[in-house]
Amino acid sequence: MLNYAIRRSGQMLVTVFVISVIAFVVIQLPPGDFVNSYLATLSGGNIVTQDAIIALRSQFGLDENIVVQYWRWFTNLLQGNMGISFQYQRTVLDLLGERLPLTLAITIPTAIFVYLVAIPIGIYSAVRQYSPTDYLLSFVGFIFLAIPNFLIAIIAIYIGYRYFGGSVGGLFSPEYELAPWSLGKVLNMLQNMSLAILIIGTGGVAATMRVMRGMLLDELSQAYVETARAKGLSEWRLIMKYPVRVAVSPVLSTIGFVLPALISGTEITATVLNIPTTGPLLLNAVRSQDMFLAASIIFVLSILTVIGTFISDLLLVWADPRIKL
Amino acid sequence: MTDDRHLLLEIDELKTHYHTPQGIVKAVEGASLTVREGQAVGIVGESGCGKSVMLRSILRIVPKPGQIASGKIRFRRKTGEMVDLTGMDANGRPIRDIRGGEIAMIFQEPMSSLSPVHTIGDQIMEAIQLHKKVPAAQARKMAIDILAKVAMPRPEQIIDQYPYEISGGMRQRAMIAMALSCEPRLLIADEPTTALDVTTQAQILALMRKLQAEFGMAILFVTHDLGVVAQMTEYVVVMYMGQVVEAASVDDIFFAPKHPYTHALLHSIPRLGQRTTGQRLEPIRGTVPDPFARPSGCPFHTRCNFNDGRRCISEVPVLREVGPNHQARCHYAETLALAGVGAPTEQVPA
Repeated sequence: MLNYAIRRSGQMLVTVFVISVIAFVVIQLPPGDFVNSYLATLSGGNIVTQDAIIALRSQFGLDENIVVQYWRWFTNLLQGNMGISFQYQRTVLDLLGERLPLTLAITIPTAIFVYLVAIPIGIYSAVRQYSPTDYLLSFVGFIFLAIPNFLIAIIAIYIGYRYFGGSVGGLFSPEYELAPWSLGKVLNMLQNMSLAILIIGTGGVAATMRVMRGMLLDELSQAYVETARAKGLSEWRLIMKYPVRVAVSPVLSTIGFVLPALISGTEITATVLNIPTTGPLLLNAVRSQDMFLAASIIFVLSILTVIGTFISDLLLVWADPRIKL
Repeated sequence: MTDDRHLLLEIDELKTHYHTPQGIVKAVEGASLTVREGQAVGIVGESGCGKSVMLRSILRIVPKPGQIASGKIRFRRKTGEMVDLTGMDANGRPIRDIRGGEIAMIFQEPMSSLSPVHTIGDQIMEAIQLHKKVPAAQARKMAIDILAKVAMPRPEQIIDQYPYEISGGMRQRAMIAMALSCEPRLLIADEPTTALDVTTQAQILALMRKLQAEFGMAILFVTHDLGVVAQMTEYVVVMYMGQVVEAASVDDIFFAPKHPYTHALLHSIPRLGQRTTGQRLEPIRGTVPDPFARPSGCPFHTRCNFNDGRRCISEVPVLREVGPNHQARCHYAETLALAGVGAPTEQVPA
């Protein structure tokens, strides 16, 4: 196991390097650069001379060869310097330092929420296949699977405003927005966060529960389940010990994708909910071709993906001994 | 010929039906049989004749949507008390104590009948600890002992291995070890050697005979291999479409069958020397009828060579005594004078 972990870590370094190249290149792909989009945002009255444009380009280092640009970015990255956001005129590290902790504070509980809710529901649905409860859960699940999370967010905001008179979205309710930190403010933040977790998690719950149900249905009719039953084990105990253990493998293998999906797949929802996570930041950075910021966020997300995959691989090895290390 | 051994299991007019959207499948339709303590009884029949469903009815593990519709399954418990298994809650305490503890089952597929993600030892120890209140260390010791009893090589190592790491024959040995770990009084074997190659099959059969003698348990041995029946059992029950059509000692079944279906089964298997004497293989004509549309009268009349066209089509025959300790479900059992086959002389040394 330890050997495997070390070997995998080595592979992860290579993967991360390749990702850094791809991230940088992808950001460069759209025509034009930050200076173009910056000029486009300037009001029409300003006349910008060609000299000024060249000066801007060289100021940002955009006039150099892409390889040189990449190498400078990457070597800086290794020293913990992610460059400067053109748009915000602040270091990327600073910006991420503001957003990443909050992103993780929402993402990780969301992931836990998804698995804690979806796996038991999936198990129940499979064991009681075609029961009214199964139909109800599947029906609700499909609805939440079909509705995009941001729409749920909008509906939640509407309901919250219309019927409860409160504001939904943001990290704090208006009365705490500018207030100094207090117990009330922390509770308020947790309350708002739990709503965000609920909204962001619904799609994941619906999808994971379908996967769990389907996988378990396959396993429930396997011969080894009958063997366990013939042994005299009680029904729930044998289901939890045998088929669930096998069926949970594919669910575990999705953890690697869930982490980045929750972080980057929720830009729109986070934008709607006005939650300052990295999602809206990335969306904005890509739109304005703020390349160091965008590349750095993509790079960080990729590292999280790689770590997530690593965790899910370790869990898989634990769950299914047939998987060779 | 009377048997003075205690009655261990008595299935009486058991009906197990499957309620499907297309209609009711009468998988077992009035089957009766008895097993005495220490007796080896074989159940023979084609695929889909209700053998497996009947066995699962005994343990009350009939898969959904199957249900026991009527009938009784009486079983003598360790205490000597006679209980009706059909009256028990399928997930209740009493039946779970009997499952694995007093009636154990071995399944057909050693590949898929063991959990792929648990060690052999884990699965055997679980059975032991479920029925005997012993600490884990002792359960482990007992598991190694029972693995040694089923002639498993290197039991101390095998116990910590996963099923995918050992061969099919060894898996079936592990399966048998698991079934025997709680010293059941009845072992139900559902085609335990069908999935194994011939040499492994012979080893497993020999092992089961030896263990049966050693443990003094009764075996209900299901197979569609008549050769295996001849080797393994003393009494044979032949099933067709969910009913027992003939039941007799193994000699009577082979030498003096009374039911046309048994006769047809015996003559449809190849025997050595058959070609030199000019005999041909006679397959049973037709196929097993659609379970949704059971034939009227005798269910076998659609394929029977002795169908009289009247009584066989209209009147359902009953299972009746046609000789000493010999029952058959045919209107003409006594008058057909069916020919038996040569003695299945080959015996597996115990």
